[in-house]
Amino acid sequence: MTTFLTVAVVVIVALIAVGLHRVWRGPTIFDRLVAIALVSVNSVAVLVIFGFLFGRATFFLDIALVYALLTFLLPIALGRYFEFRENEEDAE
Amino acid sequence: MIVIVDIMILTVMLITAVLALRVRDLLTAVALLSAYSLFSSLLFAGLLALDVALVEAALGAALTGVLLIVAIMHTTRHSPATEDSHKQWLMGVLIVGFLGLMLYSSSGLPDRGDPQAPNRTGAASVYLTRSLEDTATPNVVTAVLADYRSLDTLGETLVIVTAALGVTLVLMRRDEPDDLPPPRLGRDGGDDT
Amino acid sequence: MSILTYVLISAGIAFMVVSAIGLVNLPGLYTRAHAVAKSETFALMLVLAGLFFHPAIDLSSAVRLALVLLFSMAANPTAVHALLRAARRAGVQPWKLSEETTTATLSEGDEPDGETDGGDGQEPR
Repeated sequence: MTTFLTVAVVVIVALIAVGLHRVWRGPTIFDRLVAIALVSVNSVAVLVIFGFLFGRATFFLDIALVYALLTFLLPIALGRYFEFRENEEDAE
Repeated sequence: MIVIVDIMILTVMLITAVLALRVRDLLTAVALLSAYSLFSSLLFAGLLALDVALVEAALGAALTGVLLIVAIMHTTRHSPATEDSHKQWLMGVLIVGFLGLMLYSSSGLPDRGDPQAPNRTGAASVYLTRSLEDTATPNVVTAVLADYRSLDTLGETLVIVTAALGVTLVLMRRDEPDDLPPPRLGRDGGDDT
Repeated sequence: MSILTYVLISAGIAFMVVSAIGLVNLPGLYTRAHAVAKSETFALMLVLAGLFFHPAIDLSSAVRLALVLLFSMAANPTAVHALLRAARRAGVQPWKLSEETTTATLSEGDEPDGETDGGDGQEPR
């Protein structure tokens, strides 16, 4: 079980690196933000598997929950940013 | 900590940091900085520093990102193009010199967990042995921060509240002064819109 | 019971691999968002469900795991939807087939070709 989870963590971190390619390459900002969302979801998985690897599941699950909650906020804030900017351009 | 995961996360952090400094679109840089904070939170979690990982995930990944986005909302989105080519070699020398100094000084630190290290032979051993019976708190870091050194924590909390108030006051400034009613002068009554 | 852990986590990682490949290879913003919002969320749900059957599970861990699973299931597609809504309002066009790759059965006359990177002004990088 331990080696299986270790291999799982290694694979998921490799997938994070793959997602970063889209962050670099994405032609619009929204491509990059969607790739960051993928990176965040993978990181939640990594945190939870770390918890079970190190034997302290409850603490790591707390961190994963906080991170999932706060990663939800960032695209919402950005959506408001673009809406704000659009209102500003309409007002001019 | 699993060595290969460590190396992979550090490599990814390096790539993210270089990208975050090189892109000119500031929103992309904010997204990359948020990802960078996330990776450092993963590293802290891997080192079993759980409180630090929690705080880094909450503050660095989300709060700083949202604050920077609000700041960009009120200012500009593209960083201007400035190329100072004759100063870059000087910055390179300074950076390499400082890096060398840091690496040299870090080689004088004691090994992690060394029982003869100065931070283990002083008050730390007292905290470690007596914290459970003194404070009834299983986590020694929490016991030190909130009980033995609680006045320090109070000072830190005051600093953070002041900083948060200042940032909120600055960011709440509205950009449309035309919406404010004109000031009343004397008894003229002014214009009630 | 822990055989289910192996099966579910392997399935979850397979879906994550598919999502990452989709993010890199699919054309256009809206198609890439499919990979992130749908298959990636499902992959995370599979991985978290697999950890329910881990030998070291206890009640508090199971409750927190259920909370993380439910919240991620609801929040991740919503966040990607918020991004795409902002992208639509900013004017990013969906990807359309270009004229060269269109088969002869496509009857509309002038299709815009290739991947249009509409959106928010110049992208200097």
